[in-house]
Amino acid sequence: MSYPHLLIIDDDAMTRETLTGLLAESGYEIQCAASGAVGIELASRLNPDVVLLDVMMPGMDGFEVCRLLRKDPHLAEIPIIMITALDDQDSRLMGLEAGADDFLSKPFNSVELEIRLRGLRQVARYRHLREEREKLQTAHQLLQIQNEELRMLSGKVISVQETERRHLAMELHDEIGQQLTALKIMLINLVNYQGEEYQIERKKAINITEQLLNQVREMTLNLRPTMLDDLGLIAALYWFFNRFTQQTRIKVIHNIDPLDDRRFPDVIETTIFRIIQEALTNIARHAKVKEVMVTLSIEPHLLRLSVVDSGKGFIVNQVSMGYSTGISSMRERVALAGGKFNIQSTPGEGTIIEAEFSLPEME
Amino acid sequence: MPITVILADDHKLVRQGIKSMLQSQKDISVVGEASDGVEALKLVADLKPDVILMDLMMPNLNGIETAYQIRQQGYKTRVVFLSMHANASYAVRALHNGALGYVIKDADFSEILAAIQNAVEGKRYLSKAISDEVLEMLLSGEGEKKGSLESLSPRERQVLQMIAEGNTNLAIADKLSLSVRTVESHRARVMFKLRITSQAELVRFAIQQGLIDA
Repeated sequence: MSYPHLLIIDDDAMTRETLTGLLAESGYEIQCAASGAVGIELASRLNPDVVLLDVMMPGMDGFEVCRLLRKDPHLAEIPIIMITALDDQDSRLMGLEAGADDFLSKPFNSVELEIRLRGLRQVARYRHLREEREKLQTAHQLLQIQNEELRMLSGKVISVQETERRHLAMELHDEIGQQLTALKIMLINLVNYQGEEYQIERKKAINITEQLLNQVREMTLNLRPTMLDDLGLIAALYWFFNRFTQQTRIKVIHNIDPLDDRRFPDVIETTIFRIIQEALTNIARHAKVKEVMVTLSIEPHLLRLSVVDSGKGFIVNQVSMGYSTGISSMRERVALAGGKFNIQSTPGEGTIIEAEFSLPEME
Repeated sequence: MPITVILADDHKLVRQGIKSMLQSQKDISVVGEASDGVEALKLVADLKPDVILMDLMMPNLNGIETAYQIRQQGYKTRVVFLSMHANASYAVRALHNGALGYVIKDADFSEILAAIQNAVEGKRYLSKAISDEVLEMLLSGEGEKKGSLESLSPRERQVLQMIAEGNTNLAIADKLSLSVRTVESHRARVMFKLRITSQAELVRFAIQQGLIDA
C-alpha cells in the first residue's frame, strides 16, 4: 500500500521543516517546493493527495498558485489547505475565491493539522462523487435529446415512406394496371380476327407490351437503380449523370471512370447516390446553370464528394421550405451513414456541397 | 452442323419463349438450360456448346461472374448476354468480362440471331439500342475542354498556385489569414472554373501555365 502524498509549497525553509517534522509520524509521503512555480510543476508531476500552500510568497503568491491548480483539469480536484495569518480574514476570503478548501495558521498544532487533512480527503471524495453525478446527468440529458431527434426523424421517414407508397400505388394502378387490362382484352379478342386483321391486332398487343416494359423499367430506375446494387456506385453515377444531362440539358463535369469497378459499403454507396440525386435535382430546379461539377475522390480510407455549381446560390439559413427539407434530409442521410456534411452557398456565386465518409479497412 | 446453344436464365418463362423462337431456326440447336450461374458453368463444362445465351443477373452466380469463369477456365464457349438492362454500364461490364454479345431482351429476335451468328465467328455484337451509348462511354473524357486561367479571380489564382506547390488547405488558410472553409470553397471554385476534377490534374495545369516549375 502506498502512502498519501502531501505537497508543501512554501518559500520559508523554517515553515517547511516544521510541517515536515509535525507530520513525520503521520504516514504521509512529503514533498516540498520553495516557490509557486516549482510547486505547480511538482503538483502536475506527482499528482499529490493534498497540497499545503503558503499565501505570502515572492513572485507567484499562494492565491495565484491555487487558481492555476484549479484550472488544470488533472489537478482541479486536489484538496488545498492555505497557510494564512490567524486573524487575516481578507486572505481567507481571497483564498476561498481562488479555490482553497481549508486554512491553517501558525503556530501549527499537529493534532489540528491531522484532523484537517483527514477532513479534506473526505471533501475531495465528495467533490469527486458530485462531479460523477453531474456527468451522468449531462449524459442522460444528451441521450434524451438524441432520443427526441430520433423520434422526429423516424416520424419523418414514415411520412416520406407513405407518400412514396401512395405515389407508387397510383402509378401501378394508372399506368401498369390499365395497360395490362387493355392487353388482356386484346388477347381474349384475338380469336375473333383472321388474316391481315389478326396481324394488325397482334402487332398492337406487342406494342402495348413494349410500352409496359419501358414503364416498368423507368419506374424501377426511379425507385432504386438496380445498377447501384449490381454494378456499384460508380457505374450507377455514370448512368445517372448521362440521364440527368439528357433530361435537363445540364452538363455534368465529373471524374467518374465508368470502368472503375471498386465497391464501397452499401450504406455509403446508397447515401452518396441519393445525395447527388438530391443535389442535382435542386440544381436543375433552382440554380439556373448549364453546368455542374461532381467529384468523387477515393483515398485509401476516405471517400470525399463535392457538388459545385455557379448558379444563383442562396443564403443557407433563409431558404424556402421545400428546398430546406432537401438540405436537411441530405444532412441527416450523411449523419446516419456516419459521414460529415457541409454546404456553402453565396447568392450570385453558387453552391458547394461536400460530404466525407471514412472507409473501413479493405481486405 | 447446327450451332449448339445453352440458355441460362432464372426466369423459366423467358427461357421457354427464347427456346421456342430459337428452335424454329434450322441451324441452331438448344442443347441445355440452366437457371443460375452455377448450373450454367456445369453445363458449359459437360456439353461444351458453341454459345451460351445468358441472363445478366442470376442467383448464386451472376452472369458477369459466370462469363468471367468461362473465359478463365479456358472454355471455347462464346458468351452472349440477353439482358433486361438497356444500359451501357452493364454492357461494358459484360464485355470486359469476356462476353462477345449483348442483346436487350425485348430487342427484335433478329438481333438475338445476329448476336449468336457473330459470336460463333468470334465477333462482337451489341443491341442497336445501346451501341451508341457504349461507344460514348468508352470514349468519354476525351477532348474535354478545360477552363482558362483568365477565368480565375486573383485570389483564386493565388490559391491555385499554393495548392500546386503542395500546401494543404490548413497551410493556405494560415498563410492567407483565411478560414479553412473559405480556402476549401476557393479550391472547389477553382476546380469548377477550370473543369478539373483531380488534384494531380490541377498540378499539371499549374505547371503548363507556368505558375510553378515542373
